[in-house]
Amino acid sequence: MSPDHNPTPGPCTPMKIIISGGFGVGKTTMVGAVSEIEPLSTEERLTQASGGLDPLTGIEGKTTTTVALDFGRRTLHRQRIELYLFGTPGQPRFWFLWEDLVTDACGAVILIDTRRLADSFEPIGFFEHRAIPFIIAINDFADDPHRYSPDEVAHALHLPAHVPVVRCDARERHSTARVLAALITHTLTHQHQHTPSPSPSPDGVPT
Amino acid sequence: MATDTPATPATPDVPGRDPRHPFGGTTPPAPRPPWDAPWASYPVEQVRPFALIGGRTRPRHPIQLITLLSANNPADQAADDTFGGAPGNAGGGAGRGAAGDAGGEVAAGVLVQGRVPEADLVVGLCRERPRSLAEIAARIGLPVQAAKIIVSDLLDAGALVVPPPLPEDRDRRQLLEALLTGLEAMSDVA
Ligand SMILES: Nc1nc2c(ncn2[C@@H]2O[C@H](COP(=O)(O)OP(=O)(O)OP(=O)(O)O)[C@@H](O)[C@H]2O)c(=O)[nH]1
Ligand SMILES: [Mg+2]
Repeated sequence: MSPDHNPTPGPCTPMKIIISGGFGVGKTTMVGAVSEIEPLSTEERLTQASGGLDPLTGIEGKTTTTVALDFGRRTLHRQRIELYLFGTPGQPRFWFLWEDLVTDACGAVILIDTRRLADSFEPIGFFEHRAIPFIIAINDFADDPHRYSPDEVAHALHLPAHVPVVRCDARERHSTARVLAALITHTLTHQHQHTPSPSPSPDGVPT
Repeated sequence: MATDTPATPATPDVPGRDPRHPFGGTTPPAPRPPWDAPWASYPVEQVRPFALIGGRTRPRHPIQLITLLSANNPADQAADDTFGGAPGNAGGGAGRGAAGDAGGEVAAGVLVQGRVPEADLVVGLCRERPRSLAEIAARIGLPVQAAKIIVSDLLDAGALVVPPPLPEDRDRRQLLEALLTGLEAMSDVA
């Protein structure tokens, strides 16, 4: 039976988890590791006045940027849950493009490559600021000469003590599922009285 | 040379994150806060469906990225009736495929007067299984905001429905616990 067809017809409750982190850190790989479909991508374009005149045309310059959000889904038939994993670009300033991207998310995994730790600062700050539960997952690249321990990473990132840091291989389904389970455990422990945000209005939406 | 570095420094050799910086910036300060950034002119007018649907940018239904949508009654002709399924209506003619296939097409056709072929595509996708808005947008190759408006119109027209919540009506905590159970089963190497 095609996995794309729901073999147990009946409603599922959709839930979502955000996978964030810097460029090339393995976000799409992680989404694909648990998705039952090839990861899909949806693109948004935005333009920015680049301030100043284009030297060739004399016209005020504009820059167009395409920002992609990829995602996969996994149906948990027994639980009647359809889990969505959204792999976000590493810059939270773009996330307003998908208005409700983080609204009611179960939490976020911030994937890191210990060679480029600073790439994770912005997403960490974002989730911390919003009180959205998150964990850090060190994607173990075989060619990484430095093998930092989770403690060392937690220290360098100035993480609050309760934020878990785990290792994973984002290519591997079991490993990724363990990361996601660690996140949900964390959410259940630390999001005691989660009240859905009253306003669906996202930050950053131009008024 | 005095540039030897220990094989494993005590901490990664990057500037540490300053947690007092509201957005986790480095020093020198990170870019301005995301929600303050100058990326403001979303070029909706350049996106074909927005032009096609009269420049509207706000849907009438609160549809989120993971809102699931189903085709309405794919197995019967209810939608035909809704949209005047009398002989000779546009969707009931020669183009009709399998029985029961026409409801959404009629709805979509009436809805956007044939100007947005993606509408038919959307109904077809949602007939196969419930699809999230995100998946619909990705599969028809349109930005989410554009797909949202098509979906919203299809909801108005009765071609799509949002499946009702599960009867057992689990609360947030129960859902998270169920999700955890499912993920733990998936992480068992068996
Ligand atoms: N060795 C190793 N390679 C990995 C691992 N995870 C991802 N890769 C590889 O790293 C590269 C980047 O992975 P992606 O999943 O595309 O990373 P991404 O974060 O989605 O990248 P962007 O979307 O471009 O920012 C790919 O070539 C992957 O095959 C891992 O755990 N180990
Ligand atoms: Mg990617």
